[in-house]
Amino acid sequence: MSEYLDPTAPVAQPRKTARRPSSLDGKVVTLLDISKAKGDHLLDRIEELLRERAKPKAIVRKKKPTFARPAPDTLRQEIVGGTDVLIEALAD
Amino acid sequence: MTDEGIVAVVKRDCPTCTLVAPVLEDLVVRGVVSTIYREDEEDGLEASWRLGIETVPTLMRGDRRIVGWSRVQWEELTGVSGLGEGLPDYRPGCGSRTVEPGLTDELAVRFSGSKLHSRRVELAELEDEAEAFFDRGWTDGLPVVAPTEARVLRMLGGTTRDPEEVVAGVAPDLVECTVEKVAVNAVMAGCRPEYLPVVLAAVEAVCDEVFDLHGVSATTNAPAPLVIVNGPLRATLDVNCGAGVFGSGWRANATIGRALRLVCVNVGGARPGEVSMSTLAHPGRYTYCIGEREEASPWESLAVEHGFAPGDSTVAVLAADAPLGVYDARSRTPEDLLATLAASLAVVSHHKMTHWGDTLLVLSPEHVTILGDAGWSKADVRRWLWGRLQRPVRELLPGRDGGEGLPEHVLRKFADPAHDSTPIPKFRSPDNIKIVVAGGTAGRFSAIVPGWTFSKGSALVFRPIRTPQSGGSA
Repeated sequence: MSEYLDPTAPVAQPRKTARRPSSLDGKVVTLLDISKAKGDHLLDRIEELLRERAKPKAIVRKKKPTFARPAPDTLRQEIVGGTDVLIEALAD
Repeated sequence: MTDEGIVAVVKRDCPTCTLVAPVLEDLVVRGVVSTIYREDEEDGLEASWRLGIETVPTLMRGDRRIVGWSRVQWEELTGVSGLGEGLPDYRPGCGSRTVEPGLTDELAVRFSGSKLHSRRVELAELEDEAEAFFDRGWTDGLPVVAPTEARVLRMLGGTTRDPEEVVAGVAPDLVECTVEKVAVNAVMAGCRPEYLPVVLAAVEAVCDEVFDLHGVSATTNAPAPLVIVNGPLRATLDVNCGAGVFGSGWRANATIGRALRLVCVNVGGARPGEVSMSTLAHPGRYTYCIGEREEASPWESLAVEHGFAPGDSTVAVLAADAPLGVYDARSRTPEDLLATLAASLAVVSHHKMTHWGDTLLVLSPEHVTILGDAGWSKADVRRWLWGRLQRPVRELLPGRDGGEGLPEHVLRKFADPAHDSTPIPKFRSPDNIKIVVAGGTAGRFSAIVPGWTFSKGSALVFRPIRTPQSGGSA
């Protein structure tokens, strides 16, 4: 029996995903553009379809300053505090 | 232990220790010597190891140590005269058990192994270490040196930093990475203990927010952190700055870059094909580390240019593509040579990509001599290149000579882009063209190392290398 040291770091507890709503009716939906080229095309179409097929209370559009970095904390807090459903999308 | 007054360390099979045994017993009886540590007993051996004893007998008070028997010195230290009547004036000591070959590592594990906090992984005798580590996903695809406690403790000897000290949170998992965890990965990469401070500095540098390791590790683009070493440590550690600088064959370059990669994968979680989704990547993701050949440069080094003293040893990290070789054997004037280099710099990322950030120009000694002999400074070179690397809006339209081009929000600023001759720079500023000298003395070859440095992207980051010799918490 030989003993070695684990080179990996203990990762935080796996996070659970948030509960999914059964319906989008009456919900605030945020569409997050990560700033990749043409992401807005995709999100425009998603917004169209949402308005056509569901009755959200509001659709909010947000945008990350750059796709290359995680969303800034202020943006995350705005989203957490102001939305029921988040859809993040990119196109390339 | 240094508060104990005068203590002695001895072992049984040392003739000098036997010779002075009655003297020591006498000093204990007189209350002059508080403790005799005997290396033949476990607690005596541990005390000797902790005191860093190399020779027995050692008589010591605080930092003052006398090795072997010397009547004059023993009398001076103890303040007792007439010691060891009938003994010779002087006898050399013997080697301490703590420095016996094979025992040193074992003692390190026995007496300080418990300070290591990493989970222990047990492998059965018949398991192959290299296979077992590969199977767990802890390698870069090449075999690694198995990180035993003894090897990790020896690696930690390269720094005086506490193994528990958090070096940084490593993206993308943002897990806190300790000095110990860097040491484990440095062992696996094949580092010598004296390289550890360089690896620690490189880990700190890539975890600086400016470097954007999250993006570097997760992008579909190809960057790898290039580590550039400056300062006197290059010579001490034999970091290659000369012939074959980007190639294989130098342990320091090969293993420092590799250790950084293993930290990114094992601690940061940047596993290729899982989180790290680069479409192509490049071989620099195995290892990517060079030294600047400061001695062949007519200019101040990259580090000095960025505010460090010539005596400082530093790392700089650049999120970088693979080097692009530039061959020019016939230029003999700065203008000719720089025209060649500019043409290759123009195609970095894409020939119509503009407002690019930090990119590295690696000038070979023969090329830089052309510039230095003509009296050009680094700033002159940068300004010339930056001025040359401008193209009119009309040549940067998307869908002409390739689909890429100026983004729509920029094009909207011009009434008639198709005929507009406003110059747009390839690089945001002359300062984004970083210059080092490296490579063999023969050969008119230089290289461009494109950065992954678009607007709001990554940039060059420096960190000083803190060695035990450079003082402070190295």
